[in-house]
Amino acid sequence: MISFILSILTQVLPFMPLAIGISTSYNLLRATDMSLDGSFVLGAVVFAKLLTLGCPPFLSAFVALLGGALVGVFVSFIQRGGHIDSLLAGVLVVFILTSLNLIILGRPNVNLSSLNTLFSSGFSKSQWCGWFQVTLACLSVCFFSLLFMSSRAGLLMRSLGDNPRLLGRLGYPLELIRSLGFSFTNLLAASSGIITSQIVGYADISMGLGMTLTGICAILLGQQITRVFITTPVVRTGTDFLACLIGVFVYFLGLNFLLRLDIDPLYLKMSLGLLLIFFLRTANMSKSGAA
Amino acid sequence: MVNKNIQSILSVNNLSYKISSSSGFILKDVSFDVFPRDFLILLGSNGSGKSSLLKFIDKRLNSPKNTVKFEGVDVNSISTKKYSLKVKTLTQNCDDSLFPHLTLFENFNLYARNSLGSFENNIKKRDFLAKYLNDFNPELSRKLDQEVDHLSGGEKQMFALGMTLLQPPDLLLLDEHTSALDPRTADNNMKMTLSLIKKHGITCILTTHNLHMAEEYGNRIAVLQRGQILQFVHEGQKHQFTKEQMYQLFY
Repeated sequence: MISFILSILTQVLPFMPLAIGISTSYNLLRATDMSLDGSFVLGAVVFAKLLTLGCPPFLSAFVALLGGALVGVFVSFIQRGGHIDSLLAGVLVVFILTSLNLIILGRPNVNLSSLNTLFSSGFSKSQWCGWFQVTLACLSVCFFSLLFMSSRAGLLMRSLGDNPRLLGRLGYPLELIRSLGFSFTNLLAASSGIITSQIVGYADISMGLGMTLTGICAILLGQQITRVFITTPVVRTGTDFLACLIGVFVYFLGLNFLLRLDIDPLYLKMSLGLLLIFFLRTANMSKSGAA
Repeated sequence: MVNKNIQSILSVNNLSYKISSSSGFILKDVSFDVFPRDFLILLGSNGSGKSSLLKFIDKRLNSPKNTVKFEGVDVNSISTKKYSLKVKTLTQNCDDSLFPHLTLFENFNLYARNSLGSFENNIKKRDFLAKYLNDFNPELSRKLDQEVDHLSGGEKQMFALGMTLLQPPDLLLLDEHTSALDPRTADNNMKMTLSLIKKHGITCILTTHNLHMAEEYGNRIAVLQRGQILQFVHEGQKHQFTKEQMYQLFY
């Protein structure tokens, strides 16, 4: 049982920064930013490429994060003036990043197991030490995200999703705040890509496929669960983070449970999708019944 | 009676508006001046063009060049940031004037940037807000960490009024802002609005379809029908319409 839970945690941890990014764009910026799929891969790809070129792991991670943030600025730029909506802008950027990631990496995947990464010193000592480093890195990203969302910049981002027209009327620079928001979420996606590539030991240009949709499903699931015991959220950002954490955990719990049942991987996502629909519908029905 | 020697704060000149070339006029050749400390009532039934007129005045709609002037300057040439400090609007949907999923204190933080100087710390800021809101509704001062969305309709509208008048504007546009409230709450809100308008010497334009309200509060009344001003009633004057004509206008 413990090994089962640990196996879930090893999947949940690297997914958390991405899930927070998705939750921020979906719940707070009120935009479905599909570009997070591409930024996840870009983070992994840039990090892996720089490592293979002999760059130190910290510098490689920094440049990869910067790459993610730049994607956010680009997504925001495309939407400027409201000519292209956020969903389409995200899809277009993923489209562009599919090529760009392949150009950067030069081939479909790169093996990182023989290279010196951020966590290789820990894993060379013991598995526990390595996972401790991974946990620390993931929790630090989550903690700083929460801190950022509570700051003045975070408040401006939340207000943009809440009432952009009023924010503009109050004289705040809307486009700058939008850029900041999308940079933040894409940076989180890139950080997930960096961590994941080190855990799995390789960077692959198709590793981010469907991540955003998976994240949205997990977050919706988490929200339904948290609504059961938090009816009136006092701190919305904190509640969203909690919903995110619970949703991702339950999602991977379901995934691993299905794997344990020896379900053919061919039917895995389909079964999981149907299970999610069942959960969401049941939760919604019980909510409307209670009302 | 209005003294025409005083320079108008707002002037609307031959403003016409229609959604498409094939549709009818929503506003047709509307012209009027608003003078400092005026309380102008735009009286008309639903669809008479009152709200559209306010949208041109507060720049939610782009007006043709020189048709809407504020302090003698075409509103299109005034920056939104500067204009939003001088002209503020309160509508019946108070969510337009607030951030519904942010707390009262967070809303204040966003409003206070342009309006107030810096505070020493957050505690002083909270103290200021609690005292400020206490004058509007004592309940509000105890709900600083609650989301606006969790307030009642009356509390929301009172909070919206408080935030709008955090820095009193030169011109306040009230677009039937109490029409969604029950009579007692609407009356309390209106009294508070009037006392603040008087206290700060704010010029005001209020839209309504309530004839009694118009006669009670306004020093001038503009009667609108199908996008045209039918008549201007100045303070002390009796409107030219008979009861039957008024009935035809609104019912």
